[in-house]
Amino acid sequence: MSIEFENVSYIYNPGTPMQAQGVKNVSFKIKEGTFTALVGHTGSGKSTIMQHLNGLQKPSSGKVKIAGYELDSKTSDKGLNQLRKKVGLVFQFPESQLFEETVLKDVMFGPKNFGFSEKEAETQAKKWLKRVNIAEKLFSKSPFDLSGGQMRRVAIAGVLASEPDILCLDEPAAGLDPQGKKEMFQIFKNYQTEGHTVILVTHEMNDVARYADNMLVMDGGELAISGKPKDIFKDSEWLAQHHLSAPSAVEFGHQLQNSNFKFDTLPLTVDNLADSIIDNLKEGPHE
Amino acid sequence: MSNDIIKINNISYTYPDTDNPALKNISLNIVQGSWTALIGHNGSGKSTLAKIIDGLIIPDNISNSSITIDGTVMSPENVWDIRNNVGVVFQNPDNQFVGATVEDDIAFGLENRNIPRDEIDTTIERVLTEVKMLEFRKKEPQTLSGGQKQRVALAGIFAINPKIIILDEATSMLDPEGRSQTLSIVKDLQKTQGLTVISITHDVDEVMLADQVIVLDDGQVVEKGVPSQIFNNEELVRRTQIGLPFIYRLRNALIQKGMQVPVEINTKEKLVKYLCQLNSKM
Repeated sequence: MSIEFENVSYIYNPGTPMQAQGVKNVSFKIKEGTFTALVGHTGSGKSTIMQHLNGLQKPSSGKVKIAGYELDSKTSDKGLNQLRKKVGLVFQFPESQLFEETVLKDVMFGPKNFGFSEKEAETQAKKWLKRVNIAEKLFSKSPFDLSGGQMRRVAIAGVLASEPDILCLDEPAAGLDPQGKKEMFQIFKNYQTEGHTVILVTHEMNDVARYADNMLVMDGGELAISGKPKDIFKDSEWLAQHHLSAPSAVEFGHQLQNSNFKFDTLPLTVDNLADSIIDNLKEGPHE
Repeated sequence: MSNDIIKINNISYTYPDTDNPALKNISLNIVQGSWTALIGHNGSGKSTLAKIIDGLIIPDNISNSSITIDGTVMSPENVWDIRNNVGVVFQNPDNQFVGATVEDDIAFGLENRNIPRDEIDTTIERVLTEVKMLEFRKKEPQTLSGGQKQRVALAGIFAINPKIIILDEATSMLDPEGRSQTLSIVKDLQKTQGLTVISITHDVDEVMLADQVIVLDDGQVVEKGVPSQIFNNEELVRRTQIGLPFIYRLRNALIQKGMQVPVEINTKEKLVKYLCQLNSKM
């Protein structure tokens, strides 16, 4: 279930004094079953792209091909329910969208809405609540009695419970503690390796380096580049021009390279970097 | 000590309908003009403590506890005056906007403090320039991105010029460039105006900016110290799940793979120098 954007432009409030360009002539392809990071500084158009993935916004011009659908400026909202079943979006602070009386009911809402039976929805909800580490004794509590971190997990389980083919997450780990964040990312990575497509909108380049196969970089509403993290992170000058930073390991690696270290491939993660440092030291003196 | 701007004495707090207190007999002091990082995993009590300092919630045990802010013991009568001196920026700014436009939102806090109109205008311009949001002054806050909203929320606090600023995950939605710009504005205010900063954060690199780190776990203060003391305490880091800054993670990875790295090598610059020297000797 690949995704294709063809010359997509989107204009907010066209023909009004509030008119603003969201994105401009964006074209890219995302292969099925991959983990893609969508990055770019604040206001670069990432969220606009995200809202096009399930037809919440339709291109002002151009075309989005996704999950068997073709969306353009003329697409009506009718019949998009099944697209939304296939493409799950997790927005920033998804916990602010919790509303049901109990945790279990909240997570069942999505699947029921997409046509799962009561029983199926309950099975799915319980499965995903367990996978996001919500203890069974919390299922009957009001979601509003949970801590912020727990509410976040419940909200994410609410999207996963419908098992969308494509999962798109906007800063899902903002505000989570390091342990909670690691667990959350492991869930997303597992979801991908089980055969789904995952798109992550984030500012955290360390997470991009660690989890993403591909990245799309947005700048000023346009796609600045797409490619593999190891290629894009190589060019620190280009990154700075586009207001991006490199992962910590890459930045540190550059500093060592400026002195007397030589790396065949750029280390992206702490573990890669430590291995490369030790290899350099074993190989003996460099000038 | 007389230069403690915040004195918290034996505070406990239990949320309604829960049994386990969110804060348990907390006592701590914060020096005027210092930068304190308050860390601990989700649910450890950090945000609750911020609400206590701002007088948003009232401790369980008023009779044998006290909160002193800038020399005044907090009471129901003076809590509004105290709040004038404490600016809090929460993680999700959506819950904090009141104005129809960005500039109205910032004006709101100033109007409440009876600032004259022309002074309000110059202040709005100054703070929006500082956070690089001046071109958005006429926009509705709802139309901004998450990171832009956080910038506006920060500008609103800079405008009222508080003596104490509490950043509760206030930069979590900013891009790295925006985050470092914002933190340097705050750092600058701390240095030049003696602003007291409390940052509640999971960003371990932000913790490195602090003069003092306070680690909370299960509603209690479990450790206090300078950043290096905290991050060198392996057992504490594991138990309280606070995570490690990049440089400590790299050092640990090198040690795990059989290298020796002295404990005093605890900054990027020192580690680069150490490794490069090692590489030329071998």
